[in-house]
Amino acid sequence: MELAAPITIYWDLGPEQGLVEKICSDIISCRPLMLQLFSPAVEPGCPALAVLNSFKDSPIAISLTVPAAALSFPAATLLENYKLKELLISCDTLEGAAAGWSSVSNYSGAAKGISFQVTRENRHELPSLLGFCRQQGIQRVVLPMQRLYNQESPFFLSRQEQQHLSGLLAAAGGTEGLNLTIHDPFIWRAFYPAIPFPQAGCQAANTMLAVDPRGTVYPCPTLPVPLGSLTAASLKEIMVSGIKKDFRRKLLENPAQCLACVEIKECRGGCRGRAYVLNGTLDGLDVACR
Amino acid sequence: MDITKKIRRNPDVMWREEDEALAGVQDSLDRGEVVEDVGTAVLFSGGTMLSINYLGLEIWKLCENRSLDEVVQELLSQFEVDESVLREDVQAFLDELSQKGFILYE
Repeated sequence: MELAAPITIYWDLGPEQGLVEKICSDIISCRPLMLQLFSPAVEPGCPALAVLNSFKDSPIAISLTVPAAALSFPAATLLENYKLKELLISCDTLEGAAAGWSSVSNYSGAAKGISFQVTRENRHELPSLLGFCRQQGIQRVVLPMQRLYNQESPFFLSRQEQQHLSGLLAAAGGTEGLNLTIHDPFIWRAFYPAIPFPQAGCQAANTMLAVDPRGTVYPCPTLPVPLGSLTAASLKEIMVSGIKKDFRRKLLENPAQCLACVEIKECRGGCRGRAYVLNGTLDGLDVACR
Repeated sequence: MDITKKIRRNPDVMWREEDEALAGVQDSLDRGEVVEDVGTAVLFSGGTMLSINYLGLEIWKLCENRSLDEVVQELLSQFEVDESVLREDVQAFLDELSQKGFILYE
């Protein structure tokens, strides 16, 4: 379904307050259902607390992700005064997950979980991570989208690597008892080989939009195509702009390189952001399908 | 399913009426046009999104501590429709909501 306004907005905060109030007001007026907020720090006077304060009377559910290192006592207790749907501890090692989880042991606000940024280096830790989560009673695990607007090199697992990971995950107890969010359709395949990826194709610029720390709006955190800047326009203006609508229209077409593929009905071109970054066009295939 | 059981919305479900689409549907209804394929609200929970049409939205709004029978009776007072047809539609919609975990029966 094509939506007039996104249901989820990803907003990565920077260290400065500059645009925070304006962006909050813009987001609230667009009525998303969820705000996925990333903050590098939680301390008195930080932008994250200003955002939470702005949303205190809003029905928009907020999921806040904070690096494990930024959540040591008393940072987590500061958050107890604010309305959150969930607090996710961001980490990229099993050790980091354990340290982060321990640092929020006294936090009694929202539901807690782990946000584990998968990389080529740490992917072998995934089975142990799930085991750790089960052991600690952690149900919520998110494998977040890569921020490709930061010029990171796109991460992917080849088909063979997905199958290998799938075997390791199954041997370690699979995903039972866990509430997992996986954005990458091919990593999904490693976790749930028998279940089709639930989203009907790429949802960039439809059910989601992303805002980077400078206020630039993107279709998705993994699609580094700027749709506009909140320094020059409102989120609503960007949302209804020709640039955004044209881009969404292009995304609805299957990539030219995939047209003859028998799997296109299921994968719908995979991660279009990764394919775009690696091919320089929306018509290229996502290398993770090979 | 026991039709006397009360229906409750799953509190984890987030939802939003789509104002523009809703206004368009109301205009179409005034003109006597068919609107069943137009999404007027989105429900979202646990990574699953569901777009619902005008009748679905009215049913969804009534899914708060009412039984199937009570939902049907409420709708009969709003729509000129055959009761058996309406009951069948409501039942099918509630089955879908229940299967997706969007509503619970008590």
